[in-house]
Amino acid sequence: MMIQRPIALMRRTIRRGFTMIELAISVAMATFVVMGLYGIFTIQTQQLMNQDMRMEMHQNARFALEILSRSIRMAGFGSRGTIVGAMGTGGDGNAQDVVVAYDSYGTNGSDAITVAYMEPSLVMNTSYSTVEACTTSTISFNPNHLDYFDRLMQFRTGDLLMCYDYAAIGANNTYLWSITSDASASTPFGTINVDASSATLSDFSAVCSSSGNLTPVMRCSKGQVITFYIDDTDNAVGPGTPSHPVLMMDLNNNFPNNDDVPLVDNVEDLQLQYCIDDGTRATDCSVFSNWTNTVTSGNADEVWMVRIMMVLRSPKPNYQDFEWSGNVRPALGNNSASSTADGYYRNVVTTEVTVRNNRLY
Amino acid sequence: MKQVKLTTQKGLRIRNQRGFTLIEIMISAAIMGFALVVMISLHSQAVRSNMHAKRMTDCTYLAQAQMEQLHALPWTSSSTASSLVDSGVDTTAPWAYFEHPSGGAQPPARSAGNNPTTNYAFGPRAYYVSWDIEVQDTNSTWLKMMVRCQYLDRAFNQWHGTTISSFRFRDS
Repeated sequence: MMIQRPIALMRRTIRRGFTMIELAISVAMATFVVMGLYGIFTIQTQQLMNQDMRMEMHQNARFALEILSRSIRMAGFGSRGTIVGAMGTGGDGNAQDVVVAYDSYGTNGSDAITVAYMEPSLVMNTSYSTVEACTTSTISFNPNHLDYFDRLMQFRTGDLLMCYDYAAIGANNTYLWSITSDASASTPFGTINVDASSATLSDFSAVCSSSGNLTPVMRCSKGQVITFYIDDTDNAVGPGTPSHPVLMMDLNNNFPNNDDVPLVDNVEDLQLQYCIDDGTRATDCSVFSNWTNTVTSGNADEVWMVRIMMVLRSPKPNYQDFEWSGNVRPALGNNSASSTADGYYRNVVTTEVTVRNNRLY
Repeated sequence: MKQVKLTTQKGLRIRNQRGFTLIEIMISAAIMGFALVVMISLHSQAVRSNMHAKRMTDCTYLAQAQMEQLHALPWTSSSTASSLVDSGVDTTAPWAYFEHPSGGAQPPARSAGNNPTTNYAFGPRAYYVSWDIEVQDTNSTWLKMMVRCQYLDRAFNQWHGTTISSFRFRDS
């Protein structure tokens, strides 16, 4: 007991607790540590958001460029340069060019482009034993032939039917109709019903007069008339607004419209440039002076290359990040840069595609 | 604290209750430091991979655009565009520049939104696009075209990029 005593005393002193100084120092140290950790946590979270945003933008850019490249590369397929007779939806009395350029279409000066081609996977010949008038509202196919049954079933209301008259030697007659009802595959003749209400349109009647007949055998498929544009207007049509520009895809030559497909968010600028052959068939597209911002109906079938340029921006501005705060939309193509710094992070992508079908004729 | 020094009999036990020594604190701080360094380096690694992905994307598009241009160049039996001439400067070293456009020397640098023949630029001019033409037969009726886009990762002083190849037959 005697020996234990000093230890007992000692224990009592320990049980006395921490001094105020000790407590203050340890609390201060703990505070510093927690503050440091929290700072690291904040930076990590912020950077995660930034990097995630960038990754999404890069992914979006790849996707948008992929879709645009594929479609533009196909322009003119099955049309032999020009679609001379377009009617129904989109028929306006003018021929449907295989490449249509809309320079400075959007509010911010972004461009738009329409390409027209025949869907390669659904090509069918019309039935040779049926002669149809130019004003017909029914085009006949033989569903027993090859896999025409399955192809016919793909033609639905609202799609476009594109037919190339390859029997008309020397003429480039390609027709475009809108389909009024789903295809019927009854045998022996499956039919596709088309809108003939505007068969008197000048472009159509010029190549197929109301008293004339269509060639019995035509090469037909789904008509792809695809328009890419940026919806950045504050209206009731489409999802886009000035603060939320959306890259849109129109499939029925009727844009802007609520049935258009939103492709990619936050595409701020789309600029297109065209390398057009001067008729010599020897144009060098690596020379910049051979590139232009517009296409006329006279040279739409001589567009050899298309340069696609896009500005994508982050979904929201980040004012805290010094790297972003001075950013403006950069100049691209013939669109000058915006004048106000808005703190968005931006990504520019560019590529070029050859319009191979135009080079064939 | 002086109390502790006075009680010597069960010294070990008492010292255990005294708190942490400086050494212990230093070791634990070092361990935590290492953990933090690893965490932060992981983070910067993620940033770098993101940058790398972006650059590879840009590089691929630049190479594709160049390849499309080579495909679109007029090429007939009587005339061959200078960009389609096989100058015979073969490149064997990995990540060396190809024979076009500057004979195996460093080509002009491009930025992501940039073509050398245009006047716009966005971002750093960090990409070098070069291409190689190989004549595949004695009659020069078909060519092998290789396009390389490369950029230098300055953090590791390494070249990255992509090389794509395609064939082209004489048009006329």
